Amino acid sequence: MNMANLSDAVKRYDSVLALDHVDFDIGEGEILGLLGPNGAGKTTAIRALAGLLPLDSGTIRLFDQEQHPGRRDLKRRLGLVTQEITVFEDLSARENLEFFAGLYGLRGAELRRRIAETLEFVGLTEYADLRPRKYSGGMKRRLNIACALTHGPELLIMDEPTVGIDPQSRNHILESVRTLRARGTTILYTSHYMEEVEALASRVVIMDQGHVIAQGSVEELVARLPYEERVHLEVGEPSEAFLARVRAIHGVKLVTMEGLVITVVSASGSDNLNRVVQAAQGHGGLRSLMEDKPDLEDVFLTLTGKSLIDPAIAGSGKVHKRRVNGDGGEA
Amino acid sequence: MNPVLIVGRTMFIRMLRDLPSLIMLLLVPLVLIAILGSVFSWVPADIPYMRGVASPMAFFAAGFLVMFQLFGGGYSLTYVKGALFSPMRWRLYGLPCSPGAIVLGTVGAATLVSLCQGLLVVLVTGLAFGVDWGSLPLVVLVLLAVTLLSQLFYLTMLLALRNQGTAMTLGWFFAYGSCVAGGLIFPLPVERPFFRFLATYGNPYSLAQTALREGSPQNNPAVATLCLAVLYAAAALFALLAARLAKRKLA
Repeated sequence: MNMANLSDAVKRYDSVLALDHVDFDIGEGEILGLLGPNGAGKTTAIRALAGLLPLDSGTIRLFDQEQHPGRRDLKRRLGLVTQEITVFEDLSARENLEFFAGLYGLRGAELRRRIAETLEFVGLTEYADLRPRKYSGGMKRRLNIACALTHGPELLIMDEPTVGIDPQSRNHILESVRTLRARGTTILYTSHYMEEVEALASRVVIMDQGHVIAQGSVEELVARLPYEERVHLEVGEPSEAFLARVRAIHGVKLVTMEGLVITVVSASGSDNLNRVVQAAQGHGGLRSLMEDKPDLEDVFLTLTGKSLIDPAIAGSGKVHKRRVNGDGGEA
Repeated sequence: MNPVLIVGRTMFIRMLRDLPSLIMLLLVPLVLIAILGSVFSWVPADIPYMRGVASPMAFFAAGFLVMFQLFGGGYSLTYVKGALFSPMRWRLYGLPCSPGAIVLGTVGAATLVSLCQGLLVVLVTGLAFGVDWGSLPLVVLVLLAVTLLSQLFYLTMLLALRNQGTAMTLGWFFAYGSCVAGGLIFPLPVERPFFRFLATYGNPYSLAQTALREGSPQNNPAVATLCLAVLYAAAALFALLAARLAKRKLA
């Protein structure tokens, strides 16, 4: 069953076409990743889904009912985590939750119980009576999420929930998202950070300039690329014999050596990493290994000819490619 | 609980924690009343500024009470702006309640906070400086009229202009201009009919002062009633204007 569906959605701001005949669905219980650079139309799509903006044309259906800005009954079943931190800094975390959950209709003992559970869930129980102006950026982000959770939404829309926070808080948030999904909450998750979407989403929708340019699971999207797998490695005793042994592995198309670094190019889907590592055992073992697999960034690059990573935030996300030490641990 | 009440209660708490505004709208008028009331009690009563004034302390108490109530509309402007003209609006629009309920709750809270501040000024000046305020219900009615008018004026400016800075400046002109036209800042040539009208009925400050002065049974309660009616009518007019603008701009 679809929890939400955008069909032929068009939204224009003056001369800018923010949504250009956009179609996508969100299935019950899934995490749908919505990817795209700034200006792709992600936030407009989210706002239209949440009933904050009317469409110029097209339809939105939520829980099998038509969504529009007047549908308060549908808003009650949604949770919206905004991109900006939208909590009242002069109210404590508990007071913020009381306010927002109160407006969702929670009262009395039920309200207090849900607030306690939500504070526990986002790890803010100890700081419940502090005002957010004393919080770290990560704690504010968690409170921002908590404000959308207390009423127990069926569909949670998260607009870049991890922007500008420390790795510890990011991990906490990602773990919380997985837990919510396990509890049956459907989630629409947008992010600039591809590794987050890769790690969380069961399906991905990629948007650019108001269009949906691709959608499917990460594996499906990557499989569409005409890419080759690349492994860069250094071994203890590099020799022609080692290169020949690697060339003999099924799917290997090219082996080159430049200085001490050996590059192995295999056909897409060969998944030769383990075989190359095994081959290295008889040649002094591995000193270093870097796997260069196509990922969502490559998908986006191929589809649009530009990078998804915003230069302003590059470096705050993942280490894009995996580097492995000789002992097999990640570096 | 009704959404308006939930918003009103929360905004009321937030406004009470807004220390700069409390200092500006409660402490400053009390300090000004204390200083100017004391200074002018030592100057001759026949200087133009004090002509016809029975007690300098009462004159400044009533003057600054109304003046700072007129500035109190800044609460509505600041908190409605913070809620519905900032990124916070996306969360609030996502709630299952109308933006109108948020505006109504905020303006209600602002009116209550401003009214409480005014009553505290009345209480302190009555107890500490011996100012005779006469009928307390009349004082409350005047304060309520002035603060409602001020809140709705500032709100209308915000909804009409969307620019907090310009709206605040216009609100400041409204409040300070009323006090100038009412004769608080410098004496007006009240021997001329135009200025006499201006200083008696011509602006919110004058209407409030006239209502306070004429409200006691030995003066002219009918005039006080008329002044109050004009103030409440003006507040109602701005309420209608604000409602129209809100319907158009907050939909």
